[in-house]
Amino acid sequence: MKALVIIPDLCRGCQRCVLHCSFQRYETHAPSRAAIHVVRHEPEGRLVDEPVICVQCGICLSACPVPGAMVRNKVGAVVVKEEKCTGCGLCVMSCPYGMVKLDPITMKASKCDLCGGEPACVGHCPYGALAYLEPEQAAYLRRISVVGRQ
Amino acid sequence: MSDKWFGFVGKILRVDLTRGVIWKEPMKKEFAKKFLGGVGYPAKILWDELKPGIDPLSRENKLILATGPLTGTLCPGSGSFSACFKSPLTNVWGESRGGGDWGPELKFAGFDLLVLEGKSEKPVYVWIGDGDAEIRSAEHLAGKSVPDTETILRREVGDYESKVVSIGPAGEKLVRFACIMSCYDRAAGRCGGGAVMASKNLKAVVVRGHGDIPVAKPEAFMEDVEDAEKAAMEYPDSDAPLRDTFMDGTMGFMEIMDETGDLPTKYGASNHWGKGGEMFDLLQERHLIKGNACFSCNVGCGRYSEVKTGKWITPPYGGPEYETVASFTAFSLNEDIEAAIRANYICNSYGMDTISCGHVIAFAISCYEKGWISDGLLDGVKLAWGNSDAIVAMVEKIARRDGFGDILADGVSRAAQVIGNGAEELALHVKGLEMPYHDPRTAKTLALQYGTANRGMCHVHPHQTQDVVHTPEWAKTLVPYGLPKPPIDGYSEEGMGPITMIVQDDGMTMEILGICKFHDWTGLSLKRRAKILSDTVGWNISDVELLKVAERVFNLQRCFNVREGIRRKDDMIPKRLRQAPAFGPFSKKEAAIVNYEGMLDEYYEVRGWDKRTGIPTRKKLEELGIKEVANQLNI
Repeated sequence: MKALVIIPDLCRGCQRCVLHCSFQRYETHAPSRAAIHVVRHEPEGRLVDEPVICVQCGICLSACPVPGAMVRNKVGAVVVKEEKCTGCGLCVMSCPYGMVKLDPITMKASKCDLCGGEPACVGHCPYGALAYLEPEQAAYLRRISVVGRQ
Repeated sequence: MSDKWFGFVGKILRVDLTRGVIWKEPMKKEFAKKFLGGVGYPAKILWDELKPGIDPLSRENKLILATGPLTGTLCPGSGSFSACFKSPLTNVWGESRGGGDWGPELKFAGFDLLVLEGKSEKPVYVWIGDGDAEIRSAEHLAGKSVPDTETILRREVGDYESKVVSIGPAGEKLVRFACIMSCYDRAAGRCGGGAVMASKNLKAVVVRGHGDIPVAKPEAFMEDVEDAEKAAMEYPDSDAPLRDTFMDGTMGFMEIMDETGDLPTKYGASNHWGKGGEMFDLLQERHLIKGNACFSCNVGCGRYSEVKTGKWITPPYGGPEYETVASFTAFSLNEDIEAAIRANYICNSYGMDTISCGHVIAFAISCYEKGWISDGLLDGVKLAWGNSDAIVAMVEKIARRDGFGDILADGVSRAAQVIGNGAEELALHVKGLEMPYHDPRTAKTLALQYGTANRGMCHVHPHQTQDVVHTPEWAKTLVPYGLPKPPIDGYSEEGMGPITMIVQDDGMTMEILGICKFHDWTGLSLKRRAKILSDTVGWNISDVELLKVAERVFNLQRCFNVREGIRRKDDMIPKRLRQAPAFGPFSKKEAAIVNYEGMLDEYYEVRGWDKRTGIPTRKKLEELGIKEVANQLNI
C-alpha cells in the first residue's frame, strides 16, 4: 500500500494535476470536479503555490451516516459508492482539508480514490511535486510539508 | 452536423458599457473554422465592426478578450488570453497575450470571447459567473494598484478562486503602454490595452466558472497530450530543445543572448553588453524565491522574486522576465539588478508595460546626453547612463504622468516629436511600438519580423524569427514547411523573406489556438499542435491546413492595418538598426543591414503582397478565402 504526498517546493502551480484528475474521472477538463486542488499564491508575503491532496485519513468515512456509501478499498483509498450515497454532505462538512465535495453534476460525494493505485496526478506532474510512495518514505515528506505550511 | 462544440465553448459575451447592456451571441462555426480563436476570430469581428480612422481611446473602439479552442485544456501552455483592439500607441492593430489563468476561467464560465464596447459614465467592473454577467460600480477602486484591485474584488464577489483582469493607476492615467493585468503579475503587456480599458471606464473583469471543456475524441486527445508531455520531458532525445532552459525562466537566456549579439545595449548602440550572465546569476542566487507557471504549463518559466534589504527593497512578486531585466539594465547600462526588480514591481503594480517603459527611459537618457532635454523639465532627476536612481524615479513619474513622465507616457514616437531636434530619427520603433530586447543585426530575419509584424516592432507576435538562427535544433522542425536546412547564416540578407513568413505563420498558429508560444520550443511541434486541435474540436485539420488558417489571419490583420493607412513605408526599420553596432564584438561590417528594401521585396513577393504599396493582392486574399476583404478595400 502506498501514500500520495506532495513536495511543495517543487510545485509551480500549473494545475496540470487538476486537469489530469478531472480527465481521468470524467474524460473532460473540469477543475470544479477534480479531487486535487492547487492553492495559488497571493502577492506581498503570502507565498503559497502548492497542491492540496486528500490524505485518506478517513474522517469522512466516520462521518458518513449511510452504511456502505463510503468504504476503504484495497489500495487504502476511502471511496464513495455513488449508488448508495444520498448526497447528504456530512462528509463534506467533516473534512478538515476541504478535499471532499458534492460533485456539481451528480450531487453525490466526490473525493480522491487514488485512481485505483495509479494516481494520474503523480504520473503527469511536470515538476515532480507529487509522489506516490511507500508509507515510510511518505511519512518523511508529509512531516516536511506540514512544517512548510506554517 | 451536430451543433455541439468541442474545445470551443461556442458563445460570445458582449457588453455595451454606454448603454449598460449585456447580451450573448452564438459563435459562428464558419468563422471559427476559418480564423480559429485567440487573435483570429477577434480579427474578423474588429474588421467587420470597427470604423477606420477612429480614435483608439474613444467609445468607438472595441476591446476583445479572447480564448482559443485549446485554452484551458491539457494541451501544454493553454493558460493565456488574448486582448485585441485598435492600439492607442500605434493607431493600428493591437494585440497582446496575458498568461495566468483568467482565459481558462472565462471558458469554464461559459464563454470563448468577451467583447467590450462603448464607454461607461462612471468607473465599473464586469462580473461574470457561470454564464451570467453584470456591470457593477468600481468607484471605490479608483487609483488602486493592480494587486489591491484583485484582492478587493476577490473578497467582494465572495469567491477567492475567481480570476481577475484589471488595470492599475497607469491605465487610469491613459499611459499609452498601460497593460491589462491578471493574476497580480501577468500582463497582456504591449500596445496599450490597459489604456483602452480605462477609456471605457472599465477597471476590471472578474470571472468564475464551474463548467467544463469537453473534447471530441478523449482517448486520442490523451494520447496526443502524453506524447507532447513526453517530448518536453525527454530532451535532448526529443524535439523540445529549450525546455531545460525555460525551467530557469526567460532570464536563463540572458547570457547566451548577450554572447550572440542579441542583447540591445545602450539604446541599441550595441548588441552586446557583457554582463547578461551576471544578471542571471544574481537573480538566481540572491532574489529568486521560486519558479511559477501559468495554467496548464509544463515549462513554468515564471519567476517569483524579492529584494529583502537595501534601497530597492521589494516584496515577493512575479518576475522579472528577460525582457524586463534587459529593459532596465543593458538598454540603459544599469548594472543594479535590484533596481530592475524594483522597477518591474512598480510597473506591475501600476499596470504598465516593462518593455516600452524601460525603452522610453533609455531613450530619454540618449536625448539628454545630446542636450535635447533641458534640466528644468526633469524635476531634479539626473538622467544618465547607468543611474538606477533616475531610472526608478522615472518609472514612477511615467506611471503618474508626472512632469517629464507625462511626455514619455505617450510612447517613444510621440515623445520624440515633442523633444524634437534629432529625436525622431533616434527613436527605435516601427509603427509606434517601441523596440523590444532582441537585436536584428546578428539574425537579420528579425529585421523583417520587426518591420512587418502587425502590431509593430515586436519580437514575438507572431513569432521570434531570430530563433531560426539561434536555435537550429528547433529550426529543423520547420524544414518540412519550406525552411532551409539549418544552420542559417544570421548575417545573410538573402532568403530571409520566405523564412520570415514561415516562422511568422508558425507562430500565428499558437496565437489562434490559445497556446503560449514558448511551447513551440518545448515539444509542441506544428504536427502535434494540428493533431491535438483535430482531436479536441473533432474537425480534421492537418499541419499544412493549420498554417493556412494562420496565414489567413495574418493577412486579415494586415488588411486591418492597410485600412488604417499602413503602407510599405511603415514597414521600414529605424536607421540605427541598419548600421553596424557602434561598439562591441559585433561591430563589424557584415552586421550592417545594407539591403533592407531588397529583403522587403522578397518578403512581399512570397507573401503575395504588392511590392510598391505593401498591400495584399486580391489574388492572395481570394486564395485565402477572404474575397470580401479585398472588395471592402477596393483592391
